[in-house]
Amino acid sequence: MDIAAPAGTVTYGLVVGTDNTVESFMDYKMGSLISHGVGLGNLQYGLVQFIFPVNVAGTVSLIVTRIISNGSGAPITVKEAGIYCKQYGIATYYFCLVRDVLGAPVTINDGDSKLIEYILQTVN
Amino acid sequence: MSKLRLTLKIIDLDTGKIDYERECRSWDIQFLQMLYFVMSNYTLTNQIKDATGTLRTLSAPARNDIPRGQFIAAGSGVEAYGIILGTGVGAESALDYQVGTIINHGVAGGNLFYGDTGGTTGYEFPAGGQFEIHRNFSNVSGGAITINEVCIYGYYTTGANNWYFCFCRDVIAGGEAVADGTNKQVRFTISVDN
Repeated sequence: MDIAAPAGTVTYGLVVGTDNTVESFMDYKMGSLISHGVGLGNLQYGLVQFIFPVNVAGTVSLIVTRIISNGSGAPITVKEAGIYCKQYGIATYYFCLVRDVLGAPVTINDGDSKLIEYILQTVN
Repeated sequence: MSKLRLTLKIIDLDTGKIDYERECRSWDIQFLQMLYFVMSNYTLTNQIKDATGTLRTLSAPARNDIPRGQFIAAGSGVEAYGIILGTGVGAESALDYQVGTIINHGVAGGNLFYGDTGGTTGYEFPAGGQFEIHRNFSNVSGGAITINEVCIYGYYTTGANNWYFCFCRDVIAGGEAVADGTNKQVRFTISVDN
């Protein structure tokens, strides 16, 4: 269940897209994945990073982050985020674990970067 | 918005009645740390506490290895992992790393007979999807036993060493009495719904 994607890889790890079709637990992919690159409509994906879960006043959080940057020359509006995993078996497969439509779209202007952060948490 | 839930049920196998049902809020720190290990492929160096309270090092598996450490499918009579029962009544904490007081497998006084820990393949239904983890317990000890707590332990092996990690612990409000000669099933359901 590997989600530790390196920079530039969008087949797994945290990913973003432009579709805002309502989420369903039956989702198996992003509505419209934003590809990695500097072409029009592309974003540059950094590597996926993790913060090890520790206890902070009774709350334990597994935090997963990825920086995405816009070098496309024009603004891009992100409407969905998700997590894909890479699973090794007879072959390598990719599975969509999570897909979220953003409550409000987020525009990333040319030259700007955003940090995507997922938090899995258990609380006393 | 989809939501992931963990539900615990105790079912009387002799009558089919559900004796206890509650949505759990009991994931322990080891569960998130194991998830971190599996998702990141990073080595944990003395960072995760096993069920004896000892911090263990888990080495990142080779990328084509079968992931280790999530196995809970314990065989009949195995009380080291799978669904584990106890008599402890201490309040749950996210920092729990073991059952309070384990009920051992066996037929002696205070023991329960542990069946194997099994599960259902995940399946869909109109409003969601789920899979179940269950274990049957029989009381042939000659006396009544009260279950006060339920845990799921995972199994991890380095090849040379076997370690066990507590992923969740739930305290049963009021306890669940198991009379001599009766059988119960403990069932965790992990579900997602829209």
